[in-house]
Amino acid sequence: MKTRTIIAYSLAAMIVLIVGAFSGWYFFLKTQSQTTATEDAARGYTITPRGNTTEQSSQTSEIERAGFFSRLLSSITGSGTGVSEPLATILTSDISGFSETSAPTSTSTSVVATQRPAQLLHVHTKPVAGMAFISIGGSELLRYVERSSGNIFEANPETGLAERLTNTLVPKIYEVSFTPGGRIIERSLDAAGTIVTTVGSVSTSTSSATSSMMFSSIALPPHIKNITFDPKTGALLYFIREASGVAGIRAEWSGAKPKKVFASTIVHWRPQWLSDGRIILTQNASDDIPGYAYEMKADGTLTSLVRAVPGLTTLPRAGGALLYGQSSGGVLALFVQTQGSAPIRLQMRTIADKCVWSSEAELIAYCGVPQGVTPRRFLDEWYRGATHSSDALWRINATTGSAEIVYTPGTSIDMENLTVSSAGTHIAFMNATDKSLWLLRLAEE
Amino acid sequence: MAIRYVSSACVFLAAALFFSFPAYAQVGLPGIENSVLITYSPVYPEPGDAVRLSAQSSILDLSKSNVLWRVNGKVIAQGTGVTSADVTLGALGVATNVEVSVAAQDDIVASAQATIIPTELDLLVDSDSYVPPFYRGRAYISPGTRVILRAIPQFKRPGGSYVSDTNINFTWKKNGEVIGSASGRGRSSAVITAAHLFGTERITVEARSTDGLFAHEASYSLSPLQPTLMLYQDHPLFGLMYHQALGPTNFIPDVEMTFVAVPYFAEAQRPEDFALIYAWRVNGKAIPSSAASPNAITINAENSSGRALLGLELTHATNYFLDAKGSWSITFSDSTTLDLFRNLGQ
Repeated sequence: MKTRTIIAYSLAAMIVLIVGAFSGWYFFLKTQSQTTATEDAARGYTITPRGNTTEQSSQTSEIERAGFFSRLLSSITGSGTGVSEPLATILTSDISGFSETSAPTSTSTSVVATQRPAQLLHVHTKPVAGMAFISIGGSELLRYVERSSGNIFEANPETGLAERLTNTLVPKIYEVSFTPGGRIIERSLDAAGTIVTTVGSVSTSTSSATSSMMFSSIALPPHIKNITFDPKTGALLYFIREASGVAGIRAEWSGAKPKKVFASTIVHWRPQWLSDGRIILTQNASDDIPGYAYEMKADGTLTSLVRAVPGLTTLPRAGGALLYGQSSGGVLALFVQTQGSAPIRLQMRTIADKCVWSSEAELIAYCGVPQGVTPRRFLDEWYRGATHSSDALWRINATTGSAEIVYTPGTSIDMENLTVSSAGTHIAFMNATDKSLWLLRLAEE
Repeated sequence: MAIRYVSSACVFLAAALFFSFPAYAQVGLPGIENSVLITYSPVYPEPGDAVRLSAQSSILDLSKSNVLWRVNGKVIAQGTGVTSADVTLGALGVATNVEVSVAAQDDIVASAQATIIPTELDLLVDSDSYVPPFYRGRAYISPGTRVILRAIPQFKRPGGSYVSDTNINFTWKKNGEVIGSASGRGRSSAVITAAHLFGTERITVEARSTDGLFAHEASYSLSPLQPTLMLYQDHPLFGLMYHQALGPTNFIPDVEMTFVAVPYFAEAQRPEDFALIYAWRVNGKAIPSSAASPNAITINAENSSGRALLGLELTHATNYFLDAKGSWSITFSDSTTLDLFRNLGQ
């Protein structure tokens, strides 16, 4: 009897211990989940169970597969994030807490979102190499390239859903430009550190049983320092080193028919090709160093655009308007100039690299403006990745010289590579801190 | 900063035509009608500049003479002893015609005319110092690197055409001394070797059209700086993470990582240049650098405290002025605790 009592008490004690352990484990997991949720919310997303779409499928979605392959690759290389990527998201509230759902089974066009995405959407949390809005079937989609894989993705700003178009692994894509005709210029480095530039396009593959997209590209000459393209035709202008400096080469979109149109002993230029046909060359910028910008004529001669502005950064617009930044004595300044008028100093302090012109008929531009004080040598440190800013988005009317704040993110975003949809309803930008991709809806009812 | 801008850039002024024409002399010494001269300041005016005109004469007493100033046919100033007047110049290539007439007490009349055409001269400075691929900033000048100078004149004639570089004589000077090897007709570019640390060199270029009608001058002060060492992760998928330079203290959510030092502005074409000497130290212990990638180091923190104090000194085999240092404290994390929460993208 005594033995049975001891056993009974022991069992009871074990049960209590087990229940206690499970309870402890439960509360521990709950705490960790809350911590993770808080961190995710700070980054702009919260993962919630599926079911926010009107249609679901048992099939593995392209987006899910993208995440799977990404995680598989990461596990192989030991470099994965360990965090599920919100490749497809539907935002139900604000940036501080939006929900995610899986993508549709095959294409996002068959999915109807139950709720409109939040105003600010963290489209891709992993680094991207570049993005652009493209018009397909009357709607605008945000197409982008993942830096680690070279995979091309497409996000629908209206639904918040994203899908992967290609799955050809091309790691370490540093820069991407989207040119007319759906072509994509990709820039990377080979093992020897040589800049490799390719131009290609996404096409539907018919070789497999299931229809899929593939990216096929053509290699351009190596060592291209800078490249720009005609926004109308896609023709290329690239700068390549030669013994006496750099040569500017014009070529067709594929690199065919290259022709030297420019030569300079000054090596570090940033070319910008505008839709009115003008080509603007700006010296690479540094704090306090006078910078110059020129219009490059067809014969390769230069005519002055902006002269001797310390820390000069420029953003020209077709038609003659110009935004330019100055970094002098630790102070940033932004100026706007319309054709034939004197420059107007705007009230915000930022650089032209954080700005983009809207395609509206009005002279409207958007700029990321650092909140708070920037380091004295902001440009140099920013270019080297040694400093980052936390920006608010401003809207500038170049005609009146006025500016107003549009949006202040609830999280720190160092805006760069801004691009506006042709309808002017959305703006996409990268966070220079981690190269992740964000999308902001501009037209809020 | 390697370069200190001295004169406001290169503006090309071209002071253009400066002639003194005789008007007519009623009485007096032969040639006295030519005794008035017009000078102006600044010497090399640019478009839109306010220019101070002055009349001078070694024979006539202008302070007691009646002086009349006309600009493009309009009277802008007149009176006894009015020996100067101000005028604002037009755009590039737009001529401003100036005339001064002097009526002295003894009925001697003299006059002078001048045509001023504003010009511009830009002096661009670049360097062949090392900057990494895709870098959007300027390449600074450090000791031993080459300084590339380019003068871009804008000598626009009233007819609209520009004077080409082949019809311009460029005179390059370093600290006031002419660089003969770089100067000459059409020599719009010059290359010099940067001064040593703490030294400053003043570079001046004068551009003058071969017909003598246009001229301008610009200058810069060059002050070389020590190269800057930056450290980045070399991620197996993302590549070199130029957007995330390591600061003094860092947390790496991994147990192993390769780091790459980038010698910004060093005298080298590549960071693996044989002349560059990388001396790595980890927690005070010297680590031999890799022959193939001397600027890279891989640290595995497995079975260790997970903390590494990384030090690097960069010197040059022949350039004794190159001596850059950097140190970074890095804490690695146990992968088992990281997988749940880490985010490499941040």
